[in-house]
Amino acid sequence: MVRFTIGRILLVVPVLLGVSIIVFMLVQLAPGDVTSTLLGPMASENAKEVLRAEMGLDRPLPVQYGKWLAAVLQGDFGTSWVHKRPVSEIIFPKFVNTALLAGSAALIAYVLGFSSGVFTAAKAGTLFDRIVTALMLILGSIPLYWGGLVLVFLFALTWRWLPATGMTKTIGGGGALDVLTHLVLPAVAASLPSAALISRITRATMIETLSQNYIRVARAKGIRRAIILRKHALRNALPPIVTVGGMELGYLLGGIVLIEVVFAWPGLGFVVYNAIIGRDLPTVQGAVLILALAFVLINLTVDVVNAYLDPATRAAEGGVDR
Amino acid sequence: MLRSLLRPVIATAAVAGFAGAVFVSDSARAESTFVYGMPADHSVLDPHVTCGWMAKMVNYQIYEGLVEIDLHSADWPTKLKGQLAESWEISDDGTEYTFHLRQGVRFHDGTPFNADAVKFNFDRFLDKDAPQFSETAYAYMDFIRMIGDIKSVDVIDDFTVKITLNGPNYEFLRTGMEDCPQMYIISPTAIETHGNEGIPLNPIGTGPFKFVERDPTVSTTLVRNDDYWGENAKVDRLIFRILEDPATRVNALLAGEVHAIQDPPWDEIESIVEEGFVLTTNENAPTIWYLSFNMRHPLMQDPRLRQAINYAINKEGIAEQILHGYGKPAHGMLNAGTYAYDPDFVSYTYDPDKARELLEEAGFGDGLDLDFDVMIYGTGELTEKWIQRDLKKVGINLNLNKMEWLAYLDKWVPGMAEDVHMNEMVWGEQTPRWTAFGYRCDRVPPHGNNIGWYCNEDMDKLFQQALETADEAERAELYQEADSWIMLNDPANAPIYHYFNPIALHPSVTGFTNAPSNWWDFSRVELTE
Amino acid sequence: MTDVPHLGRPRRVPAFLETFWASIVVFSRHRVSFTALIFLILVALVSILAPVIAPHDPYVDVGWRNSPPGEDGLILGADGDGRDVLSRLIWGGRISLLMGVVPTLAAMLASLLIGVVAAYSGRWADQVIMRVLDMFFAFPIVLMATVVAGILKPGLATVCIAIFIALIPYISRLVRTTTLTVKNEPYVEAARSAGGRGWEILSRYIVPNVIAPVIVYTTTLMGFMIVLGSALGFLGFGVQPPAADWGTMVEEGRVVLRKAPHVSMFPGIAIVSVALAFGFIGDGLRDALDPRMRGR
Repeated sequence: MVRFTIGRILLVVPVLLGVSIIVFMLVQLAPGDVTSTLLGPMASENAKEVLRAEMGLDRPLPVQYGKWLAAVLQGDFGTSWVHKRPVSEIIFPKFVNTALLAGSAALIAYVLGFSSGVFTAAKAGTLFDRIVTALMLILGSIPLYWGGLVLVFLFALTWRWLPATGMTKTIGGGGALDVLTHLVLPAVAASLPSAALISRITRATMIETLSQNYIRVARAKGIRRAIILRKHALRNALPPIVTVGGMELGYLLGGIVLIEVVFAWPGLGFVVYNAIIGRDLPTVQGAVLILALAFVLINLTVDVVNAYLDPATRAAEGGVDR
Repeated sequence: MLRSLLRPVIATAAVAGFAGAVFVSDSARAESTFVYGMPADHSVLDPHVTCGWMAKMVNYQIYEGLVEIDLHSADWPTKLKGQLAESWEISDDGTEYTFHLRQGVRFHDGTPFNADAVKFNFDRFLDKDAPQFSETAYAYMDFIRMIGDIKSVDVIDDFTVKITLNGPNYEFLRTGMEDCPQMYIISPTAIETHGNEGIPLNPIGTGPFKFVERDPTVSTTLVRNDDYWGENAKVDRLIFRILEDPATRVNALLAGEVHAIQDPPWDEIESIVEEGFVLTTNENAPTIWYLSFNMRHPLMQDPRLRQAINYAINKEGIAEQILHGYGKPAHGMLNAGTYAYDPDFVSYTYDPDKARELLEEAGFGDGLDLDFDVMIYGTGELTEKWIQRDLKKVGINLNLNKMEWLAYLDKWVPGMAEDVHMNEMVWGEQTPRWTAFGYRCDRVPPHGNNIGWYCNEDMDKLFQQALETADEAERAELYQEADSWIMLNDPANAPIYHYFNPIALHPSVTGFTNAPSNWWDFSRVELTE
Repeated sequence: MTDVPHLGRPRRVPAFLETFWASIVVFSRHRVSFTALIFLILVALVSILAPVIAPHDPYVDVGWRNSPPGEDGLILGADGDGRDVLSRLIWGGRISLLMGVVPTLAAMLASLLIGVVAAYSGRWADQVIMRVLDMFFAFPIVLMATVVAGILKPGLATVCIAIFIALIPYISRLVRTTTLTVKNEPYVEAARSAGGRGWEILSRYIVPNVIAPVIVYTTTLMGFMIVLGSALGFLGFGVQPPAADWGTMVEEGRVVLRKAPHVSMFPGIAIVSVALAFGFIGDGLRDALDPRMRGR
């Protein structure tokens, strides 16, 4: 187990390296002229040439990449072309905000999705199953930018229980309670599609597992249903659920830009989006690299957890410490 | 179902509309903070290298120029007033501007303001050998001909500066104050200490507000400058919140999380007002939404086609239905904000039959395809889609090539390429010189914004004559003469509408003036309990 | 047939035709799924026949802006540009269905291949494949769409390609995890020790048993992708006006949610009901593909 984990951790390095190369290349493919971002679109060709030379943009790509990577390894993500300040100052606080939102949304999705999935599987085929299954699907497929607004109408504008926008009060804000009240609506809105997916995958896997032979045997032996569910079925059904759960957290980290826009949540998604359309390449590179690191760590965790849950998987993952 | 579900929502929201003030005023009692909801993020807080209206709005609170347009009045036409210059004289030949500077003014960092500070700022883009020379500032200033206009800047004494121009020019002051970059005076100490690249994070001017911090893509916070030379600002703090999504902007206002929002969605304005919020507009905002034709494209050279397009677009419909009356049809390229604007001038009114006739005459009876470059700028392309539909009715198929704002600018600034027939822009300045910029032969890219390559030497003579005319009324007539001739006989553009710049305010806000401008003064804004 | 457990009997798939038929039988017995399928076929038919069925040109104004249902002779009212919501709904179905189904299905097939091969081909190949997928997984879909849109042009193809690329790492990981579990089931080991060839084991024992969660996952995704595709449109990389998919219609109408809820509500209902139908079909398919369900 330990060896497996260490081996798996070591593999993070080439993945991140690969990601950094892809990020670097993608940015080269992005449309538009970088110098006009810096000098303004009305800059003369001559001035642009000078700047290109100054920035080393006329050097071969591998050289540029090497320089960039060397700086990144020293914690220097460069300076934002648009905001004229160190990229790290921009992206780290925003990443924390996004992680908070994505983490809360994932948590809600896990609880909601997993419990509804297990219950519907246990009662598969009943009216309860049908209703809950349909309800989860409906909630999950409501467009976020629409559902979010309805939530705001109800909870922020009508009942005035919760704030409508932002992460803290603009005036005199701060503190855990303030953040928490601001967090509720966007987190719930963001969690719904993930909750629906997790619920369905849980239900499907549970039903699949419950129909396996050993469960049937257990049931034939007269073991109580609850115990079967808890002790046998759940554990064996977990790997796909954990996999999907991890992916959903990853998806939420990188994919809640819409929620961030609708709730004016100061997150990284919005920064990335703005940096992309503003062609603020150092910010795009830095932010994507941070997100990539998070994704890779999530996948790593998922693989390790799955290996722990299922010895057979562990063998397949390359662990030999049995 | 949802409709009946939402009806009580709307009603309750209306009643509860003011409870939201609690959010704001609770903690605001000790210190008053005005929160303004901006529709887009602003670019850098360095006035010499910014063009966007959002940045100008923030910069206006922090920095000041020698001469400024008086934004404390909503009247049109606007007046120039001395700001850092108490007074100025223009020599009889219109080439020498002498400024008598205000004394006892200090920058936010304590640096005293004087003639050297002014010279230092001008040298930032005029003197390639100066240590503070900025290539970017040069590029921006060249775009508005500041470089071409100015011959020299001389310090006469500690508080007198003389700017000598290359030729007579009576629009110099307005050009400098509100064109693409703004001729504001930045603290020389700040430039020396932080460098040219450091100004955006250390914006230090002499204005009524001081910069505190900027949270990129979220907000920018300013605090009152208690040592301001003039009348101190009323509120202690001024926060600009970036709320790009129109629905979110409205929600923030309704929930009492901001005091004002710019550009509420037009469809929603009515209901916002019904809920007790105050709407301010200005019918003479210097904003014009227009299409430009590519005069270099063989297809577009026939003026009848361009006239037909002008006839085919139902501008009245756009103003009424899309803008809900928060804009009015534009008939010329002199926008409603400039003193040279003639409200009675009419060029083309909606007449699809006339358009079809002209197209028939020009040999386009079987219809034609045109490529239209369009920017994505948060309005949902409502107007563009409307134009697409109107033109289809007279047999013109319009292909919309949508581009992100920056990508669009990259394609717009160098002038229209061969692959495009027309493009769009929303712009406008109070100086009528801006209109001339869009027409003059010598202002085609890269030397200016005549991006449709229009050229008519007779008209250029009129524009030059206008520039050299000292009397404002005479100047206005000359500009009107040229613009109306071009519009009627050889339209280089299709002006669509003048925008009224709607801003919705929380009822607790007083003292805000929606001046005929695209940015506003916040120093007189007050919050009442 | 019976509930007696088939101890030790591998769940193997009989000849193709027989399987197919049996699956159809099981599926059609699944009342809800069957109804969902009929519903989807109807929606698809209506979309395909849009030029015939739609009462108005979806791109031309026929009513007052945002006029409510019933007025101007428009059953579902007019949108923000005065266009008939019903006609736009019918035409928009083409784009939405395409956007939901094609890239998701394609990604599922590709992922089945990648995931099974990864799980089955031993640790080195497995690690290489999965880590390469990690790299793709690490990109926010917005960035992916921007790049694709930058190389191609914003539009339906861009959205489809972006969704396709974005989904592969997700589905592949699920396929792989499930395959790893199935691979060590007794019946697979039995088949292997009985001398079954790799390909045969894969196609007969592994894939049919892996497919259940994948089908459920994919069909659920189909409904969601209709929404995601429009989200890309919201960000400016999607289908270009005047054409509109359902998600874009919702997006266009949401600003007037208070004043004219019908503009966003009807396309919203369309999305939700299609997503629901896909979900139910997924349930039915899962059962239909499950060898043990057949013959019951």
